[in-house]
Amino acid sequence: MIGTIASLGGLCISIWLIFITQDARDAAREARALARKRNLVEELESALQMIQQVGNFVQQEQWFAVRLRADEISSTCRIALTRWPDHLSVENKDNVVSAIGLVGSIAKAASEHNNDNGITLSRKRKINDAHVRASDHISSALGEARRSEERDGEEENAN
Amino acid sequence: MPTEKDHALLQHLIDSTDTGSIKWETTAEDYQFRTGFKGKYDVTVDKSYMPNGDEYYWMILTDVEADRELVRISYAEANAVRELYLKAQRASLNVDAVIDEIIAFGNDIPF
Repeated sequence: MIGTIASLGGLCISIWLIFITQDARDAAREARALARKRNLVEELESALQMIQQVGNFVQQEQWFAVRLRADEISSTCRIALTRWPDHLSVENKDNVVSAIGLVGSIAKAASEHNNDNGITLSRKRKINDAHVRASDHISSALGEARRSEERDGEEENAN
Repeated sequence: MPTEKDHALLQHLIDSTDTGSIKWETTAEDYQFRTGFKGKYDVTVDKSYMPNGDEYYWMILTDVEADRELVRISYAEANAVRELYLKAQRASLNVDAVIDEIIAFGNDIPF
């Protein structure tokens, strides 16, 4: 009799432990997902910061710096796409793809100039226009990443 | 030489441009337009000039995540590349909207 009660007690504790472990595992998974999203936000924030620097370099006609920064932005955006493929909507992933394409064209345009030769107004306008659009594309993706992070943070707090 | 699939891709891009389901934009480069797909592909169309002054067109499909060029088709290989370039140019520069605006303005002139 005592043995049976002890067995049942053991069974209950085992079931309870399974639920506790499952909850802990789910919580850990959610925390990891949140941490990954935070990194996506940071990555896109870094890209946005760099694209703002590109704007300043274009104004100062520092073409070598433009090229370097543009390459860094491409790498950062590519990391954002490959490391967190499921954290952005297709529309915002397209925005990141567009930003990569545009900064690539800025880098190419910048490589055709050095600090000794001038640039036509029309050419500079095209670079500026591409820069503004690249910035808009990254901002849109960053907006979604931030919203997603805030939503997950609220859900975690509620739990 | 472009394969049947390559031609199908070109036709798909032309049709999607006509229906407005893909959005072309200008780049910092002259005579170049681009669009993105599926969150990982980039399509660029380009016009350049041969030494004899003839126009030359390109279409390049790139896997952005892998940073790898997948398809490159020239006007010499497929005439549709020129058609795609011209449509992409019209779409990205909103040429039709500009023409509509001009026509509407013309209609407003009192005679």
